[in-house]
Amino acid sequence: MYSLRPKAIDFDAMWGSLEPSIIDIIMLKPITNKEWNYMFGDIYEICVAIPDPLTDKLYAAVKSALERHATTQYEKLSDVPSAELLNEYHRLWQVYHAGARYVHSLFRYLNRQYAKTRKTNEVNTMPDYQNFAMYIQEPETKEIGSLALEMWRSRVMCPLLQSLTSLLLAAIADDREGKSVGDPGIVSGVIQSFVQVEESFGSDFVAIIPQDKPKVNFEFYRQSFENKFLENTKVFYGQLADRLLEKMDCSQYMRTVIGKLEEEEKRTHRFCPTITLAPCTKICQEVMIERHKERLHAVAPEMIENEKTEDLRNMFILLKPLPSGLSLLVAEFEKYVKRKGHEAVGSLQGDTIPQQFVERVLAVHEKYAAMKDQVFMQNPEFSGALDKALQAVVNVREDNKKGPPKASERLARYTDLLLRKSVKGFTDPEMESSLSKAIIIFRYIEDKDVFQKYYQKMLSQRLILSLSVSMDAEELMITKLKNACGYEFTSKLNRMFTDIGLSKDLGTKFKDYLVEKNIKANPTMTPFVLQAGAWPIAATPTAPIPTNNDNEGNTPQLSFVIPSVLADSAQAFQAFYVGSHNGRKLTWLWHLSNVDVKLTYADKPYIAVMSVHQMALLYCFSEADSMTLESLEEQTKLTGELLQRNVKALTESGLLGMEKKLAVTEQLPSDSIFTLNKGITNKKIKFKVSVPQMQRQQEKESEHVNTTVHQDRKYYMECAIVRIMKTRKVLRHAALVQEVIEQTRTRFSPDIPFIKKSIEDLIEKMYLTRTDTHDEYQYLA
Amino acid sequence: MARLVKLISSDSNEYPVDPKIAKMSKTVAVLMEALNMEDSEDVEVFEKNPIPLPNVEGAVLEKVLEWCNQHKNDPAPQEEEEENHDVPECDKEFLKVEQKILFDLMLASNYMDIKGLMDSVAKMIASMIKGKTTEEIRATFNIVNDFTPEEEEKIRKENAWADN
Repeated sequence: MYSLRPKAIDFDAMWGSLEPSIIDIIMLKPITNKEWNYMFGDIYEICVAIPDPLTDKLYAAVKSALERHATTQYEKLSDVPSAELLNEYHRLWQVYHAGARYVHSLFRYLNRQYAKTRKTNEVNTMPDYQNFAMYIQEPETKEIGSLALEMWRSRVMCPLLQSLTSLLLAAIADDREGKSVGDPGIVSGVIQSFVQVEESFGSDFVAIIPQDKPKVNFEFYRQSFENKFLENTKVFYGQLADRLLEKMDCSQYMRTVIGKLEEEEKRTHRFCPTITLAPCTKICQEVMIERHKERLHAVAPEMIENEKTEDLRNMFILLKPLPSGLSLLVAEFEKYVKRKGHEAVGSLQGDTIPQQFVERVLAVHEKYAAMKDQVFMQNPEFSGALDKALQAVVNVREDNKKGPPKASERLARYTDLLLRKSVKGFTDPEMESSLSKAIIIFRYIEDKDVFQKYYQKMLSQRLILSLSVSMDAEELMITKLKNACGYEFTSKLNRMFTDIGLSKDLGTKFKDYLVEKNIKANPTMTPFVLQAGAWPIAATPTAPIPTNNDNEGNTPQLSFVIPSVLADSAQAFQAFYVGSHNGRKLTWLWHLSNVDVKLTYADKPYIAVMSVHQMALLYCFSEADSMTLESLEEQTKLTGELLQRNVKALTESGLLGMEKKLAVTEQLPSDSIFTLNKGITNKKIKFKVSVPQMQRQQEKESEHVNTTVHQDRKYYMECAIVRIMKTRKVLRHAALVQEVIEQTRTRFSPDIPFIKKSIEDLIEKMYLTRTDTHDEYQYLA
Repeated sequence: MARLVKLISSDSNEYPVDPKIAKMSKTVAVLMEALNMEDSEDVEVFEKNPIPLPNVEGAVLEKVLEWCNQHKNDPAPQEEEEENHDVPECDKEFLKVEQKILFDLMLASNYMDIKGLMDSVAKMIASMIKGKTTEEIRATFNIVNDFTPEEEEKIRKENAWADN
């Protein structure tokens, strides 16, 4: 009876019965279950035999048995004619490989014993024993499976290596020429065997867990097959490329090469292990593309010029894998888009310049963005080139590169047109998409702060005069700007927006208040309470002094006398507002206020919309039908330019008559006499008295914006420098400049002299000082 | 009928077990694998292919299977993670058996390649040795002192550092 207890055994007798079974197994001859099961017990007994385990003896016996078997296999193959060699080799290998696997698991116990010894050895050789490792190393042992594979490699493959390799290469060459190679499975199977003989079956036959997957050593495969294969590939495709170039033009060549590359990739995939794919593709690219790169580069500009999408796509595919292969194509693309962009915006004329500008830039953007997506597969290098090109187009300085870029102003006017009430209504989706397009251009603008200034001005006009097409659209645009540029950028715009909302509530509350207190305030008024500072509005109608735009609240009120008819309402509101918001100061912005005036003297009940100033002037005529400019001035306390402008506006609208016509630009003499035009006629019942000199104002506006922007930048820049220095304490000049550019980039792109100037100013103001080291600054707390 | 692997002990007893439990012995797993039983849904295959363990006694096999059943939901054993030399709490009761069975379990778990069981048994035996004098160990395991006094003296000298 068997037992697990170690006992003395007769090795020769036991081995005598084991050996034939092992050979049967490796040849995949069927054996009985019983035989199979009992062999495990036998091997165990040999390995634990007393007085000494016979493990080493068993190992040696197995080794020589396998060696003999492998040699027989070689002898079988050595007579096979070369036409049949691959097939026959493949057949025998398949059997041997599968059989070896079974034998490997049969010798599980032995394998484990060796694994244990090896581990102990490893421990011994770890720290101090390293130097002696070569002396204490046991004779090299392998797991039985690997031993079997090793035998196949040394006894079968090595002697056949030459013929096997050349047959394989011939088969692949045939395949490249389009000739049939018989069963492709045979070729790939034989190639696979180069790798498989170096694999191990792993210590666990059953649990093939991925992380346990033994490391595969490709050394043998590389040396005996892959190197030759790659060499062959290089020669073949090198020659092919030369032949193709002789008879083809570039675009044909590119098409053919793409096809060849694909083919070869599939072929390699079919025949070789995956590790060969990358080096093979690389070699193909090298000899077919890299080597002839100059030819492709030479035709690139022409292809871009003619927008040959198919050729460009092919070129992109071919050049992309090369190291920095795309740079030339990218540069050409950028140059081309830039030129097209400049052409598109170079010849703008007429009144609609802002629209034309935006639409043309968008058209260029759309066209080449599509090209980038479709031809260059959304490649980031091309996206970058497109952005750079468009940025250059958008921020171009006209007037011989002297004037500031006009894009900010144009884009702001464009959005103003979109958001202003107009005859042409937009549906919501149309509005949305138009605004989104504006944002596309906005992102390219370098001087975003300039845009902000313009936008703020136009927004305030739209809000105060209720010219907005809808509040939703306004809000949408602000949100889009916020997404593009951050919260800080839109905080003032948001504030303005909120003011309008609050004012509406306030208006309602005011009405309730009037009812409650039983105050009669005629005429009714719609108040807007605007936060000073958030609005680009000066308290005086004259152009404010640029440097003082902070003290809007403090500008001394002109001694303008509001018409008595309005005074009640105004006073009531003032009382109401100060009552409910203690400590706030209200400043009336009469010049921005509008009044609807009903003309009861005319033959039709005309309603004229005019500014409070104009109304005050007109109101003087309640008492007299004609007056001199002087007395108007006296009554209203309007002076100078303001008086001139508004009186002119009234005469132009036909409300007032004048003795003699004067050119618009001329000053009205103070003794000119005006009369109320009772016979006024107008096509509309409700009409607006225009504020004149709009055109002049627009120019002034640009000028004004530019000066304030400069001021703001100065502050922003100094803030940024101080912030940076506060955290860094000490910083080199170059590093500081770098960080400043980084921080200010979302608003504008500062030039270096400006940064230098700001640093100088801060040193003067004692925020910073130079250190003893050259070009270095220190923060002074 | 469920798929059960029939394990046959040296005294020809049949032990039908769930294949999952049987496979906790890696040796059995290999045997099953070679018979392609792995994926077979066919009860017949299991019925016709009992797996003989001709060197494992029924009593021991029973004990082994009992352990396997208790531990079937354990996570896969990690390679030498533990520094812990104590017998796991869950096996303490299980291993309170007579010495002969303990040693048989040792042999069986080694042959059948059940790492968890082998570790526990080895720790159990180690705990029986720990803290005992030479004489006590001899008494515990019934070992006859076959050293000559001279040999004994020599060993004592060599290991003097261990005594205090």
